[in-house]
Amino acid sequence: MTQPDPEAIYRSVIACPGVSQMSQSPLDTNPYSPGQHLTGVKLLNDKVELHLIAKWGFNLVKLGNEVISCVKPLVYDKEIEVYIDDIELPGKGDV
Amino acid sequence: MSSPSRSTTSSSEEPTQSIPSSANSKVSPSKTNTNNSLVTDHGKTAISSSVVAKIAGIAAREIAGIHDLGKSGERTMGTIKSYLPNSLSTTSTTQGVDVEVGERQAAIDVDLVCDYGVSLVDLAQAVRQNIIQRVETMTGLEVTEVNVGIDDIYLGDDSGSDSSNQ
Repeated sequence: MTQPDPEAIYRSVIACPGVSQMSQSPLDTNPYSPGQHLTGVKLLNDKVELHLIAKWGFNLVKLGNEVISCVKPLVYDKEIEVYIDDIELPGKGDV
Repeated sequence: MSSPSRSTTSSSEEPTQSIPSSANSKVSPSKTNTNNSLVTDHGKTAISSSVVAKIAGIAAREIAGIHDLGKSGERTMGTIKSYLPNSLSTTSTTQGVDVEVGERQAAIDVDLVCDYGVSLVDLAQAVRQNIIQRVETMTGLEVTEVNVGIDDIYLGDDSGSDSSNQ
């Protein structure tokens, strides 16, 4: 089975309007390729987890569904789980 | 003075019960196919409790008559932090807000300090309505309950800010 390309997934998610940035805990590293650190994308056996920080003012349900539809062609048959870990506050970014 | 404020607070000051996981499985299959659902055929969206807490905190502060959020200990810490330089100088948006977030539902507790002279019943109702409206609109989560606790009343000057001493 063809493996999804994590970098393509990352670029696809970050390009969605309403996505501020990807999020990741400091202990969670994904060294998918040398010299590269893709935050917020986890490729597991049966699913792909995407952790992100949303911009203020977007409907988070629609944002999640939009991210899923953007990423869907890139993950083959794997399930997609979008985790909105935080939200950027209006005017001053994350607190 | 403190007795009217007590009578308007929600009866449940205890921590919100966690949302039973069985509630998540009861949603009808047709709901999972809509574009406005957190769980779709292609994947699911999970919203962190900190996101809901920030939205609820901002929604509560939008109501006129709210002086501050949080219990006395939290507000004291917030005041101390406000004297610290830049990065910690902003009051936390989530101060005074406790949330329990499940896959499809959320329960919110909020503690308020209100201004003197406003109707506490109306204020609590307005805060509850605004939090429910904002959280449900922005996150798609069903808000099962919003427990409003009115912790103190602000009398306009520092000496009178703690009504319990008078």
